[in-house]
Amino acid sequence: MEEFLPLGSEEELKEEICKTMRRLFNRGLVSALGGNISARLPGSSEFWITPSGVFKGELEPEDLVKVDLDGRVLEGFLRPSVETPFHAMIYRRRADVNAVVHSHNPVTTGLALAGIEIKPVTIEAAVVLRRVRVVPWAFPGTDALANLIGEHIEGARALVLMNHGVVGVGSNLLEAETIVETLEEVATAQFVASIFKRELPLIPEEDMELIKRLYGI
Amino acid sequence: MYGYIGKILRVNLTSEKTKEENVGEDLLRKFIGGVGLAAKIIYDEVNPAISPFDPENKLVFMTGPLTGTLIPCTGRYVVCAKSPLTDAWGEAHSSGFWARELKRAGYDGIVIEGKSEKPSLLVIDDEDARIEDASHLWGKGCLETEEQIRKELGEAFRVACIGPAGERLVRFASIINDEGRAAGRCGMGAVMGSKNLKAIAVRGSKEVPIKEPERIRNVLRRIYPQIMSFPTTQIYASYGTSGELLSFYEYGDVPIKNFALGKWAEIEHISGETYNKVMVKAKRSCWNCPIACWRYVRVDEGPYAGLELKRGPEYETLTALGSLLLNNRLDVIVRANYLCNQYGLDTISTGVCIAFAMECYEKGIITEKDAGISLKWGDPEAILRLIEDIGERRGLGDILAEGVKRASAKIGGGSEKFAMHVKGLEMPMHDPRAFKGMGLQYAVSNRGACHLQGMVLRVEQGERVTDLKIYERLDRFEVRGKGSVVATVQNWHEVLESLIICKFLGIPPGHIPGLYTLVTGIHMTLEHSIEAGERIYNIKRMFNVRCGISRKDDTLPYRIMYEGLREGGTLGNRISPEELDMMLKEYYMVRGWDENGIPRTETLRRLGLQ
Ligand code: SF4
Repeated sequence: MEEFLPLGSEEELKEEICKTMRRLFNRGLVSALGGNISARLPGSSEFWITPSGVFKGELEPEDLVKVDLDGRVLEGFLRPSVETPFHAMIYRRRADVNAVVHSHNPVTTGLALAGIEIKPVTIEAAVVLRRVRVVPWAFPGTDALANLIGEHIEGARALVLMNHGVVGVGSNLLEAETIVETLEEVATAQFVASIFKRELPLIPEEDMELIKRLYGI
Repeated sequence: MYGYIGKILRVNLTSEKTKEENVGEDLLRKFIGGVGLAAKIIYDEVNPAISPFDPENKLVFMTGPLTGTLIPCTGRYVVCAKSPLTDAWGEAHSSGFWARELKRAGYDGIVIEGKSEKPSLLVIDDEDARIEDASHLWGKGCLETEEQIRKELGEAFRVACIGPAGERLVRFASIINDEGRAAGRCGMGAVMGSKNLKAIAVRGSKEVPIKEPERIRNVLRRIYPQIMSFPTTQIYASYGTSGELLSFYEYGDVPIKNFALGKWAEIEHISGETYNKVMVKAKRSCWNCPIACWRYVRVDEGPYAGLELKRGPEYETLTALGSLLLNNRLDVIVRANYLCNQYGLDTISTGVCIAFAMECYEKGIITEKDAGISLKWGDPEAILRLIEDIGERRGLGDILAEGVKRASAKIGGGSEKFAMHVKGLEMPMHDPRAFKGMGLQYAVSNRGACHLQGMVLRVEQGERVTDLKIYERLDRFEVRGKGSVVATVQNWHEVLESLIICKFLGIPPGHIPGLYTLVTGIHMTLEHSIEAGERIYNIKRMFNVRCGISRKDDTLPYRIMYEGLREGGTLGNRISPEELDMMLKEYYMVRGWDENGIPRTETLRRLGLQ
């Protein structure tokens, strides 16, 4: 990412994190207390993350906390998200990732709890989400969770955290937001379908094969 | 300065002179305030060789940078001195309104030196500090004393005072403020009595300056949903501290019959549910607290009908004067609490001393003749009579007034085996056989058996404190890993007691440095605050080391080490000397102390204490 030209300043990045959070809150993908977002300027070894325990619907740029890749606080006065360790882990592992969204998608999380795998019910789902991996339970905020996420994040855009929520990553905030949003859209469609029909009509096998080959999924 | 006033008041009772002293920012960065600053003053100024009742002992009242600010739950103060119970570091904490008033008067703390010739009263009316004669108050109970002072000086005054127990140097005398809140432990009331200081009355008119009030308001508004959702915060709000009594009982944590029983069929009689239903008439709180854990109680029936306590019994009192004595009557507990508040007696130490006497009686080590009354377990008359005897230093009460360690040495007959104390401070009401980490905490705490500095049992119950890197749930009966957790939690509690903020507020450690920074304008990080906590813990230990404390004193009562309970939630566990040894080894290593429990030179140097 050395040659990457940042599309904005740190101040803009902070503004954007807050905007993203508000949109997700209004969509019901983060709750008053659950969910966190971080982002960095491409190539940076420091990132901005939302604070812990502050009502999510009303975050302001000055609430955000800047930390390094070891999770040490560099700027800001609030408590960084308890999930800072796994955000840091993702940035350490994935130089291509500049934004991490951890939301509490109710339907996606619910399906995972019920042991139902998210299936590619639309083309977008297949293309955007690729394969959605499920990360087994670990206590929030612990190094154990960070390590598990580290193991699962290679080559993934979306993860489902068992009994917890989801993670979407991207080269910028909009991309990461798109991931968790798409995930919930797909999960909801699948959920609705499953109420009325036991067998889900999936995209025909040959089309799916084509897509897989085309996009290397 | 913001948050801090930057001034302490020095009062010399011998010369009757008072003077103001500035506190530099350097010192505050290193020791934060509250108990940290008090420890630094005592370490520097009190000769460890003196008797706690020597006029040279200093009694330090201290508030913290958050005290009296708009941060919730900051109405507390700490009072420290060399303790007459432990002959080493002593500290006691209390809540209410007095601390805020002191800051509004223009002081972060008061250092009391010397000894007054006659009973005296310290009046602080904004910056006007004067010593007045208190002969007419001497002998009066704490609640009356406060009432009388406020009648004489004005209702706006807040009062911290001692009762007859403090005057008579009962070694576990408390200091009572704000109509029944107590700085109970370690005999700080006796030190005050030794100085002939009856009370400190304070009135202030200035706001505590705050660096960024708007930003603080904006943050607080948005973190309330989280901090008020903290499980224990909810319990304290709903039931007060008694709310956990039954769940503690299930763990085998509630001491029964002087720590000799694991089960008691009557426990429901004193549970939080019963207490709140039968006795509690209203909830009350310290200044600026959204939790309101205090309980206003009134006895409706029986011999004490009509008795009202604005600050009713807390968990520790309900058990120390209840289950510990096999007393199942709430009205007797309320009456006993009332007597303790009037005499100015720590309810925990009082309960432990009475339990000790009852067990001596049961075992025939003391007789009805010695006691002047039969000391049957749970007998209301015996309990109330002993409290009065202790407060008056009468008969057996005079011996018990020395604390359970000295009383057992005097009474002998093998009674040391059930004298429940560590370093001379009577055990609080959590049985460490239910949570072995608590055992380590009691064994090593600077003030002796201390339940305030840590409550490691929370971690042993399964609480994770990710900000402090406490990720794993530790089995309550396991000893490995406890040394490290106890040290971590103790360091953090030094921070809370220096700021000073109530531990019942479920505020995660990570929020604290930011709020401190917004209040004071002094930048603080979590790492910096934890290091300050470690420094404070170590300076107290160094004071203790100079008082002769070492590994030999980091121990537990015989009963905890050798006697398992046949029934109940401790499941027969005890903390054997070998297990304690293992925990101590780990603990000393984590602390950077040598095998004898003395901080190593490198440790002191790292913490800037050399
Ligand atoms: S929780 Fe209780 S002790 Fe703590 S500040 Fe509130 S009323 Fe005071």
